[in-house]
Amino acid sequence: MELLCIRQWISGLLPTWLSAWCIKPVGGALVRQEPEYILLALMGSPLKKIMLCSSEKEIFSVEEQVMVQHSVIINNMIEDGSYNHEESKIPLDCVDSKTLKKVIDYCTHHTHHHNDNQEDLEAWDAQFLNVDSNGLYDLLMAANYLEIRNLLDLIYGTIKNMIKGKKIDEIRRIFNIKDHGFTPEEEEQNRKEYPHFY
Amino acid sequence: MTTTLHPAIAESNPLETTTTINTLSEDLIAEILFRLPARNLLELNTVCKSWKTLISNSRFALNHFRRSIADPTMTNPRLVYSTRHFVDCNIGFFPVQPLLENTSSPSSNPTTVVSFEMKDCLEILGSCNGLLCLLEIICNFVPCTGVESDWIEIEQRGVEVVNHGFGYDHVHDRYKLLLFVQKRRQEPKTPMVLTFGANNSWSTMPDFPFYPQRCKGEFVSGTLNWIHKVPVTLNSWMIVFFDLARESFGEVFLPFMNGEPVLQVARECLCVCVDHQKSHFDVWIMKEYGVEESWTKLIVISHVELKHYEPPYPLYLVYIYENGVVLAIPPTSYKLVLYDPNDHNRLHYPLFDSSSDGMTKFPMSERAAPRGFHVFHESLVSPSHLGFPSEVAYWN
Repeated sequence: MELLCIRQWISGLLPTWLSAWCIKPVGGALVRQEPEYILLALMGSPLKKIMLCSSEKEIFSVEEQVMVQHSVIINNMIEDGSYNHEESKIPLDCVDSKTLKKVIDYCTHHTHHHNDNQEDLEAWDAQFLNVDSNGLYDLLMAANYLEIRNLLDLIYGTIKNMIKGKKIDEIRRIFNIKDHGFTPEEEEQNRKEYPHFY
Repeated sequence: MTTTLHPAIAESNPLETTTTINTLSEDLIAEILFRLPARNLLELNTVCKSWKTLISNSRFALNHFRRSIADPTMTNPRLVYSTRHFVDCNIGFFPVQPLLENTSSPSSNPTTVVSFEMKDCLEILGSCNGLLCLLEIICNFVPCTGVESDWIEIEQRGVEVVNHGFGYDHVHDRYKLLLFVQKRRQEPKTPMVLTFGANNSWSTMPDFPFYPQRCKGEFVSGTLNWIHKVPVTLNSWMIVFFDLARESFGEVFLPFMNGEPVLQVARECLCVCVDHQKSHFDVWIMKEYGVEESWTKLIVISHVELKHYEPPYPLYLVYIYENGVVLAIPPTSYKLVLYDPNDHNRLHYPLFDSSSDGMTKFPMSERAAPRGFHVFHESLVSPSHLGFPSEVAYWN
């Protein structure tokens, strides 16, 4: 059900005097809060949504609970009251729509499936990160900006596994290191010290 | 484990991509590198100059060590010992993990031996953050990179080092060595502090409130710790500590114990092992350093289970594994033994064959043996971070 319909429905049920009692602190001031929101909060409504805006100006609606659980940045914004549910959206100018959708996907899945067994979650994560290096980079930047700890750990872990056990040429290729900066003598010395790595 | 390549590697032409993982900032590259063990990072020094600068940085080395210490697969913890025999210039390393796993067959990881030429009778003074401090004169040795610092002479000649402690002062980012030296027995011991650095500086401590009764000070949390008997009491013990940053002293009280406790560091915490009423050994751990209430009893080992037990020799704790299994040296048996608290304290004697590894003698000579073992974790910390001059690539 759309939030607007619920609000109207509840408004119709509540006596008008109730709104006088609904005061809550927001950003240091006491603000009269719409009673229907309080009722929804009391009901533990998962429908409370927030709006995220990508760099391409596309709006994504996502459950507040989901983003608050995963993103430190968004959690802080909601807690300190700088996000007003009524009118604002959170602009994420450094995250494009495709990446934002994926990030929301990740957070939503992990919130709803956190009781799943470890193997299933890991399989889902592996599938989730089955992207090209552009996609991986974008996800890393987004997770870093939004401070989503578990997604960051997952991505770093994946990159680490990509380089572990590889030879030096492979690693230079992955990171596109064309000029390693060593003199020929230094490179020779390196080769002698770590022959199995070359 | 996937057999197919990750798409990001399989791309045929990564040069076409504009913003990809090849344009990661140094912070993010560091985050990736933090997740690799020190040994791998040594190789990665050769990838490019900027990675080398990052990995060789002392801050990076210390942060990497702190993040990896909790995970044995990252730091490859080993026991290092010297035989403390005259004219034996070797130290030996063997990993602790195989001892836990191969209890019915000899360890497949033989002892690694490092020889120091032209040196006699090496003693290991301490192991801290991946650095080993050795005494013949004094030097710092990093087994992971194989780097050995220059040897430093003790200022006073012809003295014997009686007590010692090696540790890291995190406030000033300095490694320090505290020594008690003595010209002859019965003469007063002189405490000295060596601060390692570009100019290794010695300072003497004019007012030392106690003389440690045991040889080695245990390093934990920026302090060196010794067991000390509470004066004028029969059976009361406390821990005295030397704060490396402030170069001052203090006390930590122990829960009341019948019998002299033996101090050890395990899992980055202080542990004591005490002979209780001559019937069993209690092992306690102080989970939070300095917090008396955090003393917790970890394991109880009854004397009955120990073969050849003769009081009053103590049980020496060597290492505690993640699953709670305790590696120790029981009194007078001079063998390593495993106690499993999850399995009714069952004893296991891991097979350990050191007859052909190049160490002249397995270090189980009487009463010297327990002092000989130090737990060593691999790290990137290097004497060059302390300001020592150019390195000698020694052993890998």
